[in-house]
Amino acid sequence: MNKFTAQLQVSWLRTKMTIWIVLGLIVVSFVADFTINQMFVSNPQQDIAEAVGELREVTGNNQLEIQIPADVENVNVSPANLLLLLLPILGIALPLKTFRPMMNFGDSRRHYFVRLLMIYGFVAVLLALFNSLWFPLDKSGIREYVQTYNIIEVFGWNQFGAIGIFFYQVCFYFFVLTLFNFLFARPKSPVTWIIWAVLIAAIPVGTSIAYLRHYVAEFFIALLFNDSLVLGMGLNLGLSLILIVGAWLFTRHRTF
Amino acid sequence: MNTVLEVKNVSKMYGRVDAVNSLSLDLAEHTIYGLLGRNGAGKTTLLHMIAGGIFPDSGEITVHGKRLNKGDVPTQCCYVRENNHYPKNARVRDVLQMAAVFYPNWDAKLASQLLGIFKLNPRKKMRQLSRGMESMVGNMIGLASRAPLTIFDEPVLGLDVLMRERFYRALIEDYAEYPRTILLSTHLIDEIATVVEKVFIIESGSLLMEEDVEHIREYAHLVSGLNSALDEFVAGKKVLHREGYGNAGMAIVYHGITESERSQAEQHGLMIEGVPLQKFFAYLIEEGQTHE
Repeated sequence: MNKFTAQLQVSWLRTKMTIWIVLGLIVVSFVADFTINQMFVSNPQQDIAEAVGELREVTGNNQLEIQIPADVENVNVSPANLLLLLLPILGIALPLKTFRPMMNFGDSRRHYFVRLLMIYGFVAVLLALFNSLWFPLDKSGIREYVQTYNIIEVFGWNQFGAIGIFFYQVCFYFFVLTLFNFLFARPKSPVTWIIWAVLIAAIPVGTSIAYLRHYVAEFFIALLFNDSLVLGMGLNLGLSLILIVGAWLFTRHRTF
Repeated sequence: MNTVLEVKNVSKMYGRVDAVNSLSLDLAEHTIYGLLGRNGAGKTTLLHMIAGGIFPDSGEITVHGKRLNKGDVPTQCCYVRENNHYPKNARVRDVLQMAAVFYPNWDAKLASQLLGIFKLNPRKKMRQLSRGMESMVGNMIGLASRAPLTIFDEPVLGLDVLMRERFYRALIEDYAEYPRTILLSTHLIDEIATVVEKVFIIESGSLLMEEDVEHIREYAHLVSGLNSALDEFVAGKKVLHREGYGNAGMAIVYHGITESERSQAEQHGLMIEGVPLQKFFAYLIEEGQTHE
């Protein structure tokens, strides 16, 4: 065992219950969706036609019609995407739950922080790899039974090929982890509370004012839907770097 | 002897409360120290600052010649906290394995021996341990770390008499073989009187006394007898406490007593006894006097 594996073990011990719960929920959700799709809503076209028939009887209007697309079906989030719930969870739980145990072992703040970033990197790679491997399964096998959508398609990352898909995800997931880490790096500080308040206020303000809405949309398009792999990755990593610097400024003076 | 830890005019406030007030102390290498004080005297705050967990408002802390800046943690230092924060779902053996990588002088053989001495099941999870056993895991880490500066904050909290004795014995035996600087913070004073060489007594965040235990034993006396003889005997001596019962009384004297003074006192019907460290501490705090 070395210091990295010790911190990894502490991280696992402090978050394993949450991870198991998330995994359990994903499995239950997937099984439930699969069962519903197979058994109860096996033919949505027929169900809707029957409903229209009943409505004609009740209303006495035989002209009543409802236009429905031919491919209507219950669409679910891909289970591999649901796993991304772990990004905010770990980004919050790790700084909150591992700082004290590591300091208790006599670790320095700097080394703790560097290893925390390494763990975030490890998590980002693991989740990106999993989703990258799951995506072909979604397309070729799973969608025969359950309609799913995957963020790889939603954000258009599939235009970059297998390697591009993987690297765009790694950068974006790392960004999400560092964002939450920044927000919870020093939870007892008034500066942190101000940042929370600003962020909470920024969401409704940014989306309700038309002038700002344009910039907010541009920002998210550049971050998530970027047509250039290099620019997309660069923006995610650049923002991560800023968040890392901010989180370090918090962590270096965080008290036990 | 080299100085391992130097604390200079360190102060720390919590709101408007002075937790530590311009406190200074030095620890030399290869010595066992006791840090004594009542609950809330500022012991834990001081130790937290030394270990880099919290930061002083003013003053300097230097460990192994390196000044601690805000956010620094001292190297070659093991601080066993009163409330340890090891993961509750970790097994004892996992905690020991994790601790081992942080201390370069870690002695795995000693850690395994201590498991037997303290009757700790390495497969038990931390949450399954009693308060005393939890303290013992911290104490094992403190001992097996062999850190040149080892600090124990209330190490025997929750331990029964037998386990306390075992801990002190293990500490002394290991220290004899591998001398280092050890600071024991406790309020069970009599128990550490035989272990520590020097004590720091703090009260309300300030250092009340810094003295060799041997010196306290030599200088602290309980003198009792008739008031007239007692008044004459204590004149010019430092009296920490005085009580009267009619025409008789007793005094806690902190002063050297020569053989001739002793025989003279006995001739005047005075009885002179030693004072246990715990009582000496209580009288000292009560009187709020400082030794000059």
